[in-house]
Amino acid sequence: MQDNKINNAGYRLLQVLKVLIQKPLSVDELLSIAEETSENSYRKELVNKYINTLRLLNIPVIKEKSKYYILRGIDNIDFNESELSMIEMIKNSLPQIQSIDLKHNLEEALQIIERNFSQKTDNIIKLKQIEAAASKTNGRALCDESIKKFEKYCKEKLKLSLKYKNTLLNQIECYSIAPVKIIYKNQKAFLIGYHYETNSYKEFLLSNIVEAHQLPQISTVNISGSVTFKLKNRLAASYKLKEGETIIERGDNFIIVSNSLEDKDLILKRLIRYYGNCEILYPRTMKEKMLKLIEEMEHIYD
Amino acid sequence: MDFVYNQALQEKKNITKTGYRALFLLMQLIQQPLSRDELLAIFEQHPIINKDFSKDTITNTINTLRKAGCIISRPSLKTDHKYVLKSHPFHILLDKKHIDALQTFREGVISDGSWQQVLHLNNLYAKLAKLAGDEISADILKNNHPFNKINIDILNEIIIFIKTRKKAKFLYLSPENGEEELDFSPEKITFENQKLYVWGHNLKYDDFGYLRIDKIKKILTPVYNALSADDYKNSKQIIEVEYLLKGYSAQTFICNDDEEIIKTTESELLVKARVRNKFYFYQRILAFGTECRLMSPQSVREEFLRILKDIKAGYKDAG
Repeated sequence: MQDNKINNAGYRLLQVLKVLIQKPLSVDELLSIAEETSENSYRKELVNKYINTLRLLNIPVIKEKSKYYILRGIDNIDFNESELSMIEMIKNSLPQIQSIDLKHNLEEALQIIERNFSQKTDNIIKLKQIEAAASKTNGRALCDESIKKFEKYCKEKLKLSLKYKNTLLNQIECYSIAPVKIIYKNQKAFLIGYHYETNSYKEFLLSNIVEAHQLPQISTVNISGSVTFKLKNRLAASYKLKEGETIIERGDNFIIVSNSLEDKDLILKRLIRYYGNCEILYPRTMKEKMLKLIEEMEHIYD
Repeated sequence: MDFVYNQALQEKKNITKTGYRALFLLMQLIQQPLSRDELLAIFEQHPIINKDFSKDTITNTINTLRKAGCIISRPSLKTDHKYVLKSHPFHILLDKKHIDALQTFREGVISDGSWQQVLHLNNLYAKLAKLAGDEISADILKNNHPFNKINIDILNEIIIFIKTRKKAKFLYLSPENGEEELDFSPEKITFENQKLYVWGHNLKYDDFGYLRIDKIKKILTPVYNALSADDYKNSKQIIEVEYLLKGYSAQTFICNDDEEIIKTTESELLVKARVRNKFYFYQRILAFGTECRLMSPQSVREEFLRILKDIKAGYKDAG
């Protein structure tokens, strides 16, 4: 049928280009891609033919260490000055980023982005001095020096024994946790860990961790106990669910929400912000903790 | 792309002409949609392709491109009888690990609290979505940020209102009253708890307050006159409050626009706040829990104690 007829030689070149554009390939690897689309076997000269064809179309094919790779894509992107200054900002942040994986993956991402620069983008870079966007802020939390260590702990999935400084009481507390992940907020890095004793997730400010030891046991995370609370009136209508939350009941002017992920101490501080429009329903211990928190806050002014 | 004819290579003639034709056609369609006749006209002039090029050859070449993964719509009345290239698999793509790294970087910037910078980064990421290998990754780049429900045109207009000190009428989706029209004179934008707020004088309620920008559905009227002194009365009142922070709250504290740290010790911060919206201020103080003590004025301490009493009463009444 004429409508479905294709050109096999053209198709083979397209298949080769598709793979070559993503990674460097040797002559043998290029040949095997061409042969995958055909029942024939080919001589190495075919690769030369393909490379010549691509170069004739101004596709920059480079040979390095016996592998071919493509320097620039065929459909490049125009970036404006503001976008280029953000790219520059990411680039300038790299030396301060402490996570090895994050740094490496961002470096690779930037290389790929640059390989997609259009001629127009190159011209902007040549003609104008692109400066990194506002150096005032560029992910300061990512620069915490201990990130590297705790990132490794999260990957290795062994139980962790922590000594943590409670800066309010000025005392050291001990925790046995399963390290889960690193998060960033308020310009600081935090370790999220599953705390075995309370069967819940807990946030640890990295700079307050005084000591951390891996234990020779695989860390396991059970289903965390949830906190159920009722939100009333306008808050019920406008409430945006957080990660790990579900609405378990919805009434005329209230909703009942279950939260299974948030640090149990931090959730109290968040829910108290909602004044009388929020009431903790379950578990009873959390309800009592909330009352205790309010009473302690009152005592400050005694 | 500028296709410079390379004489040296052409002389060698060691190329695959059908492959060349397929790629050349793809590159033409990348630049713009073209009809079959337009393609024929381009090819007739081309020193390598000019021979043996018929309408059937175009159809075969388009089929070849489609089989290789290009999405090309059929010429129709709707497309002005042109082939339209919708997507192709020849981008140098970002892997999932790159997308995750870019997202982690954005979260770091979000944690700095600079909403302007987050906005610029979002614009860049929206463009990078073209380099994502799948829809989920593209969606992360385009939408995985706190401003994804904000109408950027509305935000830009608000920024202009603030700069020019003008007021406007908003159609606002209030959680309490549903859609309502508000005469509002915006003063500043803040970014807190992953939400963007515009602060200003709400003339309807004669109050200095804030609106969530994602809940502003429309700007109903062009700009009125600049705000006059008579436009508001109660909202002009500013209370200066001092509060002391310690512990974790002091360590993770970030001043907002109306606050300044006036004293720092090893474990404590003394903060001065210019309060224009007490509801919002008490919310902030409540969240510090036992790590905060209101120092002055006495009237604010008393009001705060009444709020604590009310919250406690709610729990006791509920049993």
